[in-house]
Amino acid sequence: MTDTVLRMEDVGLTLAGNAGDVEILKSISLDIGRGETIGMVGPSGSGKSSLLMLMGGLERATAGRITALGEDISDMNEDQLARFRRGRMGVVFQSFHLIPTMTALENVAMPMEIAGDAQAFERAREELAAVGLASRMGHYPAQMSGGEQQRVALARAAAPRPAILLADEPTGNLDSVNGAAIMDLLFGLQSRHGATLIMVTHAPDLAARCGRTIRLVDGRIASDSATGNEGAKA
Amino acid sequence: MSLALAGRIARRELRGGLRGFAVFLASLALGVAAIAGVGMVRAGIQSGLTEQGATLLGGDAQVQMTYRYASEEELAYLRGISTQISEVVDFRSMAVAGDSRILVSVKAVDDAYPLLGAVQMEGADNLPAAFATENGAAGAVIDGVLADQMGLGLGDRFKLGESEFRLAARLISEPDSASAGFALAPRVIVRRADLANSGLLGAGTLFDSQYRMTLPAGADLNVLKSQVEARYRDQGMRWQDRRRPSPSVSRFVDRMGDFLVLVGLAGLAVGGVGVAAAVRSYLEAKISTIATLRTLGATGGVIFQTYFIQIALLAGIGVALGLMLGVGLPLLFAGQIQAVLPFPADISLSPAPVIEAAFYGMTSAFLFALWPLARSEGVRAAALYRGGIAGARCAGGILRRLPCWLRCWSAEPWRYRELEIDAGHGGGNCRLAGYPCLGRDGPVARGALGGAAAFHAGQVWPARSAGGDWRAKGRNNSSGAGPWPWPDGFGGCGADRLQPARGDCARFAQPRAQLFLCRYSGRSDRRFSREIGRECRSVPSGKRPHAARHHHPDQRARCARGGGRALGGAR
Repeated sequence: MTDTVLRMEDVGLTLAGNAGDVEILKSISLDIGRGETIGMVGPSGSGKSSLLMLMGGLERATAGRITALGEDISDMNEDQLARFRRGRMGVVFQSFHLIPTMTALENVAMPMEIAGDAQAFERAREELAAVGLASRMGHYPAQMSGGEQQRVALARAAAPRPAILLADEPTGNLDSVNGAAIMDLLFGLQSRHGATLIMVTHAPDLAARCGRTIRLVDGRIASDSATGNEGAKA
Repeated sequence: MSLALAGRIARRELRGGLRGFAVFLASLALGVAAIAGVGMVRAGIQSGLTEQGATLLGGDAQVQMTYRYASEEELAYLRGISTQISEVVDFRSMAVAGDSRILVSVKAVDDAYPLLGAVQMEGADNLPAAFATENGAAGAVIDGVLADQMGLGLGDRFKLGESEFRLAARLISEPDSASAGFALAPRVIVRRADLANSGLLGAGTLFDSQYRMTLPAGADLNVLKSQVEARYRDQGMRWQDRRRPSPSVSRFVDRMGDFLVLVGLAGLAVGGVGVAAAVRSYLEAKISTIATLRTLGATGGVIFQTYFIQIALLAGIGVALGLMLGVGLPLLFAGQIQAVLPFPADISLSPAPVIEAAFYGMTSAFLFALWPLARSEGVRAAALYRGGIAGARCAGGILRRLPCWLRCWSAEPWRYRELEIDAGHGGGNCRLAGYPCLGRDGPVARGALGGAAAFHAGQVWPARSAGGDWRAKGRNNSSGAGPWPWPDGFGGCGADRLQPARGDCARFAQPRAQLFLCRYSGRSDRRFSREIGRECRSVPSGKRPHAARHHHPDQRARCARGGGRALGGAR
């Protein structure tokens, strides 16, 4: 599969605990193509977020191989993973995780500054304008509503034009109106940049907007199916 | 490049203000102030001694001999190199007035004394007037305290040896007192010639003779010293000059200064614990930001540099505050300090003690901040999900665990107690390892766990009932969230946000659950608390758990877990 952006082969994640090891993910194998939109669903504790973190190199697998954008990230250390993520992966969190001491503009520019992009602020302004926050660039996260903060987080994830967008329950902390607006923006950004979108969600309607749904149960993929809906391919 | 980036991030991070750094700044500022202040006063005294060296010594130079006077040949030589010379004899004797006998320090002087400065006294205008003989008794100037002790008034008589003297004046100060060093007895000044018949300065008497000299302008003290020492090396003649008029005072000031600097350094070292704790606490509060930066692609180096720059800036502020205090206070109170010192002090801004204090301050700040700073590199991007710093579990034997225990306990006790509940969390860090530190099966651990639970339940909760018997009742009770090695007496919930939390209490609380622990976050804290409280009240009396809560730093709800398993969390 030539346009595979992410491949997981027999991936497992086991965390050490004082009462013994806890097996979070078991034998996960999947291929994700360029431009796909994927919804990951499953009950709490099934390992959705952990799998998303493995895909983004935020967590390291304890078994199997993960190849992202042509590079084997399984054995990379934290710094190598950090460098690998630069400009390639955008992550949106449920709790936004904006840096409170930075303005919206600085938050969005941050990943590009880290990557050494000279146009960081210019692109950050464009991206903030694209999510409708042109007038809030100088505001700090504490001065913004939850919906606005999540829009900043979206802009931050999308601004470096990443090949892969990871979203962990991006509407989990928002009301339904703001949640819907965020999802429209997220799919719009994914479509505009042609990125692969992988999203963890508890909401069936959001999963249904994705082209493919992966259901996890007890750390295993219980089903992996195409929905045939709009965001299947950008 | 990374340093410039770190500098930019640090600058933005510092917008958060200096909250939480009061201890850090106070520790540094006080230690630096102490060292700078002591250094300033010491430098002032040294400067004063040097500037007024000739007055303190009573001449540009002096030679001193013990148990003998200078010979005619020696006197001739000394007269040859000087423009003026004065002989002073110093010895101890007993002053007798009626039944009163007191040890005194006698200074027998010639008519040239003092070559520099003046003797301050009351009762006579000058020494010649004071030394005048009246009714067969020569005059003497004696310490006022001594006069009072002996009950002598002006004109009263007392004896030194076989000679009778008259109290002609009470001594206020003598210009060369500092060069005399530590005084063993109150001073009596008489004319040496008046002691001729006293029997006190005969052969075998213990006395020092000093020959003070004023030297011609441009005289080279080094050359003169070398010549005198070469010429009279074997005659026991000791040279002293205005450059170091009072070796004893200089030694005293040096030693006292060293001691006080040591006290300042000890203060810095003790303050260093505060510095380390403040940095650790600050970085713990920044774990989310650090993990976010890691997620965005920042390497450990950038993280370290970012916080190193911040700590360096804060240390600079602390040191600057300390220097302002340490320099300002001695300058402000220079007059009072000079008034109480028995020797002159020229207290003014002196660069050496300032640099010394700044060096000690910055060094101690970095020494104590480096360890927690270095740990910031270990924060993983996954901390946004799992929390903590990698590789900081308290494991191994007692000796290996000891530093970790210290870190745990010196962090934030309330957090530690609370986090004991979370013992065994897979992503474990120092805080989370607190409970295993204590030994999870021991009575101390159970007590601590109960105490922690009580703390969070907001009420006094008997450790016995909270922690007791949990092993005996089995650890593998399932609650619907998979294998759940929880003690029987505990319940827990997993709540990412308010809505899913509803029902957790009843669902997860075990039949005998006495304590219900939840970690959650977000803006719905109060609402959550109300909800969970309401829900828990629905549990039949006697089985009702007590809700406990914790605001998780990563803003992601993680309910209480025990025995190494997350409970119902979306891991």
